[in-house]
Amino acid sequence: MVETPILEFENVDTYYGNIQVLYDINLKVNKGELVCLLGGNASGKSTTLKTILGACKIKKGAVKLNGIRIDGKPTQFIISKGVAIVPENRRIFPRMTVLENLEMGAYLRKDKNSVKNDLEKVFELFPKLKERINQAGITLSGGEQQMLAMGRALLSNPDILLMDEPSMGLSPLLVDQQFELIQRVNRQGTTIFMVEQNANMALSIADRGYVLQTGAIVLADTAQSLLCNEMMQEAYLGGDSTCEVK
Amino acid sequence: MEIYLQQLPQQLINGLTLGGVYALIAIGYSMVYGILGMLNFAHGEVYMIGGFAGWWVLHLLTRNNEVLISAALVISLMIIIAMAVSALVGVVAERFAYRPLRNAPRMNLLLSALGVSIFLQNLVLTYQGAKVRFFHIGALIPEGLRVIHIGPAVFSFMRALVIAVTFLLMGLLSVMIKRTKVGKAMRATAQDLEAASFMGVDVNRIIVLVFLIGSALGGAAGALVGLLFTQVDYYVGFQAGLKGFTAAVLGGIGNIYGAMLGGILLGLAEALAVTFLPSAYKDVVAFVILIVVLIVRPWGLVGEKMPEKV
Amino acid sequence: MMLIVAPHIMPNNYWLRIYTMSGLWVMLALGLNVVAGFAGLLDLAYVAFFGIGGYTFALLSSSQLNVHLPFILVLPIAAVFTMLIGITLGSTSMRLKGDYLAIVTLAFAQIFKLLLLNLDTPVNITGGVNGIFGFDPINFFGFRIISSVAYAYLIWFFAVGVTLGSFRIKRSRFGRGWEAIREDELAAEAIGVNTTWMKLMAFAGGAFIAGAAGALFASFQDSVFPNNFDFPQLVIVYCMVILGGLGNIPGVILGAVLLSILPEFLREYGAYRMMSYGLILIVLMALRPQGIMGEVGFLIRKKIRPDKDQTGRLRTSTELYYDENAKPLGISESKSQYAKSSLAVLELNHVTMDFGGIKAVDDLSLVLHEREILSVIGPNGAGKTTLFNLISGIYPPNVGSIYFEGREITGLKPHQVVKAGISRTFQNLRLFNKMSVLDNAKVGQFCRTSAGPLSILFHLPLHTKEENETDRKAKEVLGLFGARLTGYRFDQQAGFLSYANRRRMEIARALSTDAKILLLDEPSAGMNPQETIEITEFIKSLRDLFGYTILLIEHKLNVVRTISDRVIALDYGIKIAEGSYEEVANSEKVIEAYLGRKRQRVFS
Repeated sequence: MVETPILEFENVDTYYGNIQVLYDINLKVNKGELVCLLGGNASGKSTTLKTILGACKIKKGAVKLNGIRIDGKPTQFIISKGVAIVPENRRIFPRMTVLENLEMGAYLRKDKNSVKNDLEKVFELFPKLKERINQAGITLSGGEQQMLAMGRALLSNPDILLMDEPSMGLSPLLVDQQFELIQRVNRQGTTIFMVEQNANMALSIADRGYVLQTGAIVLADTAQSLLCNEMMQEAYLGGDSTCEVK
Repeated sequence: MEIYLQQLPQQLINGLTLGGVYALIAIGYSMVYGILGMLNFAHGEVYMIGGFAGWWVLHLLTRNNEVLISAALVISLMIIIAMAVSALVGVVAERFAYRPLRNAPRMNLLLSALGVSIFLQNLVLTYQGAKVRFFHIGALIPEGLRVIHIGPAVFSFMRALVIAVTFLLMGLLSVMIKRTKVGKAMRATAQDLEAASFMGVDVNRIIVLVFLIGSALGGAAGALVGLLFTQVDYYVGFQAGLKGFTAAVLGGIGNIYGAMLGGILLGLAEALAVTFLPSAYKDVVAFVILIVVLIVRPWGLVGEKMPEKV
Repeated sequence: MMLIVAPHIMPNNYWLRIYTMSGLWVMLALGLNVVAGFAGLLDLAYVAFFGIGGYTFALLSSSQLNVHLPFILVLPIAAVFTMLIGITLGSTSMRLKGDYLAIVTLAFAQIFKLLLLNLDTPVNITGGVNGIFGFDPINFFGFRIISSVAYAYLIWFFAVGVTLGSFRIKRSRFGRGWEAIREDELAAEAIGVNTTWMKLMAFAGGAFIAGAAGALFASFQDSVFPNNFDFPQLVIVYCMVILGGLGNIPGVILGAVLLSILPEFLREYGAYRMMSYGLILIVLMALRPQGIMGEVGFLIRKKIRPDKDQTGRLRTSTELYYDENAKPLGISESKSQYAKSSLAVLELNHVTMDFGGIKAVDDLSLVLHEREILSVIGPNGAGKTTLFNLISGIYPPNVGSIYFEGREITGLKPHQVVKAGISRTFQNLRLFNKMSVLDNAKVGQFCRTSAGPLSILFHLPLHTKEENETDRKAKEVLGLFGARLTGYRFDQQAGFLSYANRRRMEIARALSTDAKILLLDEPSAGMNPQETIEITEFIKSLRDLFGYTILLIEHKLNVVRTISDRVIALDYGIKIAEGSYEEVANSEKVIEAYLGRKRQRVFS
């Protein structure tokens, strides 16, 4: 299989004002992959996402989308070039209907017919949403809000879907549902880059993973090897890791 | 009692006129509050500047009590230019006084808005003086049209005009918010600014647009009040601002339809109060309503009560 | 020294007058600093308080009403009367949030001015636009203050007094209470600060100073006019306070002095003066909101931070964990001393919380036993946090009652609940980020202390005793967390702590209130597995070694399993299961709503 990189970080340094947050980050997400970025609090995970979205300025290196540099560009430009995000806590628009929420996902698209097509696809994927099409976002249950956030992101027809802490603050049942959802969307061909604290869950569905510590990548490997890595076991996976040597 | 009932239709008309103007001012407060969560202290001055812009248009187009071009055109120009000037002032204020404070504590934003208010008021005082400017509208409307009698009520042409223009503007705004793409983007930004930016919405442009529309409506109100009450001075922004704010709070701040409703209700309340109370107390009515609403129902008539996020 | 010499070296009477006026401005600015700086209240009626003081003096020592009281009596009367007006205005508008308070106070100031202008008919009280003039000369036990130099001394004497008072009040329970309110009002209330009362005290304090300044000003000018107490003066005082930095006492004094002298050099540009005040506000807020004196670099001592390596990079908390592994916490290993008893300390009877048709908590009854660790689990939106908000008094329940140690606490305000003995943490971390670690803990002692303004201003024994006790208590509580929150970290701003340490700080702050029951809302959220294990053990030790009763919301099932005596599960505000961890985890309803089939296989 030929690797087609969708997203690349080349030696990226990111700063907040004078404080350096990211140190020489190199990472790559290929077409069709599900890649996760792991790390504790304040390790620089959300800064990495903000760097992709152009909300943080980089001082060194390059961020590339489909081979074209996107660092230094405004967020709406980066979104228009094929990046979509499911933000932490989903952040659906509470007083807009399900349909309006989904339409916001296609905000930058001009191809009305294919938007209609994609809308149908999203409803196929999440039939629940179609039932609630005219309900306000805030009235949806937790699981339905997840679907809506995911559907909204998919409606921009992204080349890469970013997921920010999808399991944050969720009950075990919803965490399971969430990761199943992510896996399903990935299998249908969407490239996914996921930032997550729950290393066990993330690695159980990801192809590859990167581990971030105080702004630098300290480990990068396939998900399976990471699950069996000794340092990972100790610092991130706790006792209940599911390392299976194949 | 008899006499009050006789006056009622008249007061309803007066209240509706006044209410329309208050609603226009209130929309500006509410839109900005909805999107930035800030009270734009300077909005009253934006209204006042709209009044001055309208006065200058009329002044420049009048010679010896004769308008130089058709009266309809003069009135349209007054309103349009007042809207344009006010919109410009609002947008410039946003760019230089509010945008740098996007992530600052609320108190800083309020103080900056206070600064803008003081600056604008004294700018006008410095360059226009403290004297009252009179709108010579005699030249605008032919004698026969000035007053229309409907039963016991007197319907002046200006009142009809003000009601027509305010409701037209509010209608246009509603359609824009509800139906157009940019209207949806405005609602989305008001509900969750960051999430909207993730959808590709240029939130800075949306915020500028909100200031532009809100200020333009405030400016229109300024010009309309000039036509109605025929005067403006550098200090009118204060009272008007307080009224507009009261209307916005009454309806539910952050909610545009609430602002419209609140404005009209406030106008009616003031007009009816004048029937029963000496007219000097007219302004006290607004203040009492404000206090009562803030204490009893701070989220307003149509606003939603949001449990504080803990 | 300078203050004593200054009146005599002024080149002429004109400058002597400016010198005296700057003393008055210092007083006024420091008074506003109490309201706006310390407590963070945007009080736009402040100038009206100044006016009330001035007119009170004018009416009580002139021929206007033919009342001629001695100055030694009029000054306190003016200050106290103004304070009472301030309290009245404050108590009606205290429930309003920042922006609304500003509008209401602005309207009050406007009404005050209208009254001054119009109360010359039918009975001439205020003299209308002509004001009042010709006051009795000040006579202090035979010392008559008439000369300009005497006024300079008199006014600066009070200015210095207000300065000293400001410093003292800032470093007291009042100062900390206000700072907490400014940072996060809800968190302050929930940690035991009587926020309504404290805001009222700020209003009162500001009004008191403004009233006194008004009386002094009236006497000094020997006349009062409505124009002396108008919007421009308000704007000037605000500019002074903001130029100096809100809450920064030396800064505010400097700001007041600068802005009373500077305009004298710019007299020919008088027309632009008010415009420039507007600009000052805008520019300062955009470029330097902390004021000219704020955060001056060379005044802050550089400290070595063990959590950074040589290059200044922050080390991870995980690395630190291994460094400090030898003694992670300040708790000595000893045998459990306490265990759950069967005595009910907290009881909820049929409690319902309805948010406009959505029942977040629905007819819930529960009992918490003494020294029990009870965990609450349930899906998102099941009403867990609402339950905490009900117990801690943030929401009063629509139906039902809550009892603590046999005493009904339903409907108590959050600070009263804390005082009764129940304190809480917040899921999404609501520390007072700009306050030091030590001060965060000290705020917890607010509800256990009672020193009033007089004790604080005159450093009476009550204040001194309580301050020592607060200091000791705060250090003791922080000491439980070992090096994480002690040593050089005492003075660190809470906002700069690592994430895990901020979580610990939340617990420390709750502990520092001397509570018996702790409500912990997801204490391990966002912690890595190591940190989670540590905090779990710590929470357990709070019960085992110190006898706390703990109600816990937690999503991490291994935490719940390890430490809970009992577990209850909520869904849609209804209790769906209750019992031991195993019982709850195997309950059909819990599996359906919360755990899911997959988990059930893993965990049971």
